Amino acid sequence: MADEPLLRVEDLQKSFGGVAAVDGVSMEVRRGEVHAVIGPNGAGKTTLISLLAGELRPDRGRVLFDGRDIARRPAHARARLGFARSFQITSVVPGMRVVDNAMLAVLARDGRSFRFWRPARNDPALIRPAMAALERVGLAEVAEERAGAVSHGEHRQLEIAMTLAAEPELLLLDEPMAGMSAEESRRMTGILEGLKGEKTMLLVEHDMDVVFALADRISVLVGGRIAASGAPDAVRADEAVRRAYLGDEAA
Amino acid sequence: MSRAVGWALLAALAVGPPLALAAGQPFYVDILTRLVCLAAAATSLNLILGHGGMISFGHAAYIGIGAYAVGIPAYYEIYDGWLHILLAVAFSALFALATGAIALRTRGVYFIMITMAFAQMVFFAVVSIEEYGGDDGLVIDIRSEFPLVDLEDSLTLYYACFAVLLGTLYLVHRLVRSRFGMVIEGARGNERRMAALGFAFYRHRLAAYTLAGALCGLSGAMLGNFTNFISPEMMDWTRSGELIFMVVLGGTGALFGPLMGAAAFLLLEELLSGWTIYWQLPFGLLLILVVLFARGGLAGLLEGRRG
Repeated sequence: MADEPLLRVEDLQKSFGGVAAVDGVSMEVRRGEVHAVIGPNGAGKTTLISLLAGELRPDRGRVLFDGRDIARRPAHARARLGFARSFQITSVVPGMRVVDNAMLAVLARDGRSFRFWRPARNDPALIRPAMAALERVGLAEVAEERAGAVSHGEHRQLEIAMTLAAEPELLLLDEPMAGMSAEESRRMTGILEGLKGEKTMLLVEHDMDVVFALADRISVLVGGRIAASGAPDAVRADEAVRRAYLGDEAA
Repeated sequence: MSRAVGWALLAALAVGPPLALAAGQPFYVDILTRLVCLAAAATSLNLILGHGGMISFGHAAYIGIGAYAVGIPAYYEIYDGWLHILLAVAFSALFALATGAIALRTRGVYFIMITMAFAQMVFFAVVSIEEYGGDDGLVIDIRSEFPLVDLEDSLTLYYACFAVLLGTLYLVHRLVRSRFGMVIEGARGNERRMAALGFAFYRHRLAAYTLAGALCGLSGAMLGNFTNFISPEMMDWTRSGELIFMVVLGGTGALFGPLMGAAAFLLLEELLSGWTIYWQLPFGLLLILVVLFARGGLAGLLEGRRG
């Protein structure tokens, strides 16, 4: 089964009121690769990632994770199978501390959440992996701060730390650079580079520099369909892609 | 700071009643008994409202269920206190489990309305049962009987209620700090993120809702014993509103918030009702001020927070 891709999407379709946002997408994410999905605004990238994360149900098609069809399983069940999703718009628990947020991710993976008596906040089984994930993304210093009180860039780093703390098989990263300054974006690229080869990642991103720096393979989504898929150089050279997408930016 | 005030309040409650009796003021023992019962009920509500973000507008139903779990057996001359407590907790938990399973599928204002509707169903069910007095209520002629403990003695009854308050506070304190507590707090803060992390938190919420109902049923049984008279009025929706008022006034999510809120509530009720029969009016204004300017309630003010 080593050749079996970690994630295989077959003929995935989702319409909203007669408009097909995702229109028969088929693609594969291989184990250990960084697979980027790019495409112009409105190409269906966010719909695609929501379908993969389980927040939307497809009208048609299959999502095979490790050979199992999970297209109709809810988000929390997919997370337990090993999906971890970061959100385009920062989504943390603002009223809790930074470290609490990471601990929740560890707890979700651990699964033993029906424990009513022992204090959780000094449980080494939760704190150690949570702190390790925070250190990985450079947030150890603000661990005690309220998550709602840290900067935008730190929120994005916390997003990544939470996906890491869950020790997932597959990271679904929805525009991790969204709204970042150039400096923050560079730091985030460094963090993701450090994870390359270790984690399988599906990356949806607007920033072309980031995509070409990180991705092993790229799929180009245009009008809800995959226009091209392959290694970065091949995609860059693809005439259809240039016309549909990259050409728009060059022009 | 709010912790210190909370402990001071508890200390005052621990020594107050014997002093009141010694000073020849048994009336204060009655007031304090009512206070600790309501504070325990409000503390149980705080578990779901303050920590879990579940705004139940039907929490007084459990006070009623607990009180009738004492009153109905007593009507049949069954006075065993342990049986009363078992019935109060079991029926409250069952009612919370059954209604919570439905209510927790809704959000926001729908949740508020549906919890209120379920509570009103109990209210009208009790009103319609003539055998147990309908809306005239039921007199409890003999209080729950326990070995070695005589609840007919007002001071003993007081300390039994106080013990229920302490137990409720301790239980809530442990629960909200546990792994389970982290999950319900996280789900209050960000449902979508919690689902993406892999939590099926509906079950955690339902468990919290059931526990809060069971705890409130226990305080209802104590309140029924104290008043010697139970009626559907105990679980009227305005009573549920008063419990919410106590939690909000005291500070949602703060351990001692509901206790402070209950104390402030009874104090204000006493002062304002002596001043005007329209005492709810200044009361309402006060609540508006708290919500607008002191969202952490009394506990928040003591912490120097304004939320």
